Amino acid sequence: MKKLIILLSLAILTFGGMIGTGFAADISMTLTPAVVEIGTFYDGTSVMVEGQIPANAEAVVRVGGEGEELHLKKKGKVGGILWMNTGDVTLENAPNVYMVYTPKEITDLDISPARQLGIPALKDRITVAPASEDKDFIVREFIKLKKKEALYSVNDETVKYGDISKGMKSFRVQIVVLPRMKQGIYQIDLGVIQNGKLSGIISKELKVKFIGFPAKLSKLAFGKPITHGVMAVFIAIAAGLFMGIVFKGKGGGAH
Amino acid sequence: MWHMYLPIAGNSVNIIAIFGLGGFVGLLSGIFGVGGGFLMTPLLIMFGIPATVAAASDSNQIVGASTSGTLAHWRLGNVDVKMGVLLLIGGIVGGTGGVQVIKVLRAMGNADFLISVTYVLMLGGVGSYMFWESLQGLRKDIDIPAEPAATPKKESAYARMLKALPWQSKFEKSGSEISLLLPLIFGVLVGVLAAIMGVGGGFIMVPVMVYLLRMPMHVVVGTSLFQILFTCINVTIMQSYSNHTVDFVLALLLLAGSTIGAQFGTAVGKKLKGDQLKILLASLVLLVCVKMLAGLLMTPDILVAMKGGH
Repeated sequence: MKKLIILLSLAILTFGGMIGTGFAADISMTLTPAVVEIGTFYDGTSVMVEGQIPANAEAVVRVGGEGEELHLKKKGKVGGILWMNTGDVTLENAPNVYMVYTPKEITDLDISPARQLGIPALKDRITVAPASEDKDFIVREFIKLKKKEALYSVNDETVKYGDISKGMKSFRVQIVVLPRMKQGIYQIDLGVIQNGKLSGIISKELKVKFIGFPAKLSKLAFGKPITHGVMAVFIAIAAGLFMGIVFKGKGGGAH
Repeated sequence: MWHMYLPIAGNSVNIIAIFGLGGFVGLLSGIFGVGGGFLMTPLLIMFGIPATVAAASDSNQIVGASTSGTLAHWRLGNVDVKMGVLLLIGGIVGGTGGVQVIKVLRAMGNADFLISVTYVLMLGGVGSYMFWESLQGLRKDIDIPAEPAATPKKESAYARMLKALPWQSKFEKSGSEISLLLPLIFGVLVGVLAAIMGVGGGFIMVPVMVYLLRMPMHVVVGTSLFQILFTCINVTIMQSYSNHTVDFVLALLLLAGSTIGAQFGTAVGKKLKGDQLKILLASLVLLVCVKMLAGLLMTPDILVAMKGGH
């Protein structure tokens, strides 16, 4: 229920502006491909996002992953000397991926719309428990952690514009699908900034799914975990014995 | 090219890099007879593998590595099964108790402090003692190049205490006669420490066997492998069942690398004297201790971390 309320609030916030301006039909966006398949030798890929926006507007593209509940350890100084884990905090509705692509330095874009689309917007979206924690501090450090993993990023000057025709201009940007982006649905938002306002947002879904060996292995590991564990042991023993034969009984390894 | 996707780890890895990582750790392992748990897991995390998957898959890899290692040492007569089984029983009892201790301490909020301090003290203590003792051994070698007929040494208080314990039994492979209680007690202690520290316990067990159970180094390596094999089979199945964190593809890649690395390691190890081997291992243990201590004293870049892992 809580998640539903958050989603509805976000939808009202984001789509509210669009309805007000009445140009929803004018802006467009396509993803190529719209489905990313993760096979055995997958090492990430890229998706081309293209579309049309009004000629006097700027396009900001945002890639958002599903909101997760995350458990973090908070570090602090103990006894004035040692840096230790001093407590546990839980984040709710923290997207597993959050990437923003802009046509120019995000600081050059109007600050208010940029705030609605950029990383600062996460502070409003993520909730921190227990409530007694310093939310600003926790979210700031969490964003640092995700930026280090490259799962949160702001990619300035990556949206390129094409020809202007009938008051509209084309845009294109290549978004990165990192190998560590999990199987699932990612929301690609096109935010249009016009006259200092976020005048509209349209969204498309990007599906990332396992195929072939990763699909089968994942199904086994999560569906039949004991079978998977026993199989992993037998395979390791067989591989160990094989290595022992190959190296004529001088096997060994890292143990 | 040369990348493989690991669905459990949720990331792709460079096959050559993981193979090389296995080879490097295998090399050290081949030289010293230990080196998996406390080296492989942090290195895998550096390669983008989540901590929980790194730890569980490393255990799976160790199953393979210790299978071939145990077999090789078995053929050479270097596995003291009786000692290994007693240490294993003690280890299981101690490990189960240690997990409960951690649960209680976590509830009290002191677990992480205890884990870090235990690590630093254990690594610092064991490393310093091994370093000092090996240095003494090396100096003696230099001072007295050829010792004539060995004169019987005066028995230490520890040796007298060992003899005074009940249920004395002969451990043929280890060439000693000690109480059955001793490996059980040390097994429990290592099990408790291993549970608190979240590692397999190999790098604590080896010094315990060398210094406290007075076993010859070649039997220590074989028996340690035997015991580790069973510990890691249990950990692999439990981790797969409880946390879905075992990636056997990753484990196989590491195993292939580590087995080849271990061949070179064993060759290097044969060329070194026992004291030289110990001093190198002591340096490695002290290096990890210093790194951990630095981690405790220096301000981290990021003041939150994901829960999970060791």
